[in-house]
Amino acid sequence: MQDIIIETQQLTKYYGKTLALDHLNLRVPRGCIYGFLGRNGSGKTTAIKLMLGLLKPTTGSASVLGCDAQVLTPKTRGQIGYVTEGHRLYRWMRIGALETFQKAFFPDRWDSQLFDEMLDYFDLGKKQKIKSLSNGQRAQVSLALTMAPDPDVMIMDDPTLGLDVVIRRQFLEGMIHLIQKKGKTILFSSHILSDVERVADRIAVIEKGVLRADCTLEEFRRNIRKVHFVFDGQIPDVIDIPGLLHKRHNQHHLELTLVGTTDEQIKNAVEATGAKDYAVVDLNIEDQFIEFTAREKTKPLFQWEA
Amino acid sequence: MKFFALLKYELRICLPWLLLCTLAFTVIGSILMKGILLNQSNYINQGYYENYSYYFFASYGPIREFGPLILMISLALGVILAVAQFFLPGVFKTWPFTLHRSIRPQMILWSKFTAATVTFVVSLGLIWTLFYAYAAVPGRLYLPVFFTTYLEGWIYILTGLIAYWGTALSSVSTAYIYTTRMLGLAVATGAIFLVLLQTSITGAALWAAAGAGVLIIQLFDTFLSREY
Repeated sequence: MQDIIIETQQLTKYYGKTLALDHLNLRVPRGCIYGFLGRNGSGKTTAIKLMLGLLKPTTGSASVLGCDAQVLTPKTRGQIGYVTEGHRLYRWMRIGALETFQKAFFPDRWDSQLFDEMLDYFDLGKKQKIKSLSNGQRAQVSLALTMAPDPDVMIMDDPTLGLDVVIRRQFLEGMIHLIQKKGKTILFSSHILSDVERVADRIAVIEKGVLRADCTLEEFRRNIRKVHFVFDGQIPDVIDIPGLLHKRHNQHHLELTLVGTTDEQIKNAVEATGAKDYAVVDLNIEDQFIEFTAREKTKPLFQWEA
Repeated sequence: MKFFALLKYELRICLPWLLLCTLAFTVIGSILMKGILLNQSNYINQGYYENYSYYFFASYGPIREFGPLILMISLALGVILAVAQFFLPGVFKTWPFTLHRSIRPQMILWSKFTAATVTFVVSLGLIWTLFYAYAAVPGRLYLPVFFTTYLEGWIYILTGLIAYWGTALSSVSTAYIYTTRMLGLAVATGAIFLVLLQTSITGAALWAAAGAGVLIIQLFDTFLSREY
């Protein structure tokens, strides 16, 4: 039994001349809930589709359950549950018909009781047509259809996209239900940190196709910090401090976003720059993510940002 | 079982068009047939058939409207089915949901082809057979109806399937619309013209088979190699 369920090696994808994914190396171990984070257009969907063989890599490779993603066998596909981006299901079908359709592909694995329980939990009826459902309800049907065959690994592409807070909570609880089952591995992409925080035990952060972080949630929390330096006089042009991600300043204040910088290194920087005082600012994980993935703006969006 | 599930799904997509074509062909065909029965003596008295000793059922003779009728309905049905089965999944982005299941992707194509063929056979082939059987009853028409006429009708039905494969190929192609994307439709149009220009059933059938073969092979290649 292999311990790495999903693996990508130097996975790279170009759309024409546009680089969508740049040498992505990921290893998702068995039983792990893996949050795949990134802003819109960061390359999450591309990476997921490459993992499922729906796109072809420019270079590199991906494998799921030890099987090359480009030649996934029907058996391996049957072991992978996939929640598509936007929960695109057959609009004209009723939930019951969709269940019958999906069930035919998993004759030995389909758990009708679980499917019915999930519909009950989400307050959905089998006679409801997909096209009459809201985005949130379609997400719930999508999750139930993916979970009922009892997959060994679930890959979910932004499953909570467009859902309100209540539905997102319900969806995540549904996912936790699956997590409680033994030996399941889940990779799900999102740009909503609070969702990831609730369920993931490991995260990967991707930005402009480049993997920027691959660590546990705790490590991420510990390593992203914001520090304020206060100066009496002029702020130096050059700040030499390890792990510097962004800096912003006004007349006497310098705000630094740091990654993996130790307290000692911060103190050294205070002394080296001649700062009068400094303070480490507490960040919640949402702010940490924003700081970590924020792009340098070339021009202000609004006048008051100038 | 898996193929049957896919086929059922595809048949459900084809069903409205199957019913519509069956209804249209039956109603218009019946009107034509009624006119033929009522007017055949007039035509014969006017010497309209002096050069013919039998009816070419689909293209010539007093009931020549059947040929264009089958052709028109068949071509329209082919294009509509291909759009419903191959183009709309791209618009509604359901390809990933369809493709990610425990089957080989070829099975998806075969289920689509089977459903489309069933639709053609039922809505056009079956009704055409009934019209032919009705007309071929001895004594119903003044002149005998030949079996080649019946086969000619099937050639027209086959042109609809060629249009179907051509439209399907253009639908699954990811090329720009003004480049090779239109190749499927262009090849289908060419093949259909070649079929219609033939003077023998065998020649028409051979061109139809050649056109269909080229389109099906290219469709498999494009469907299996493209990205979703």
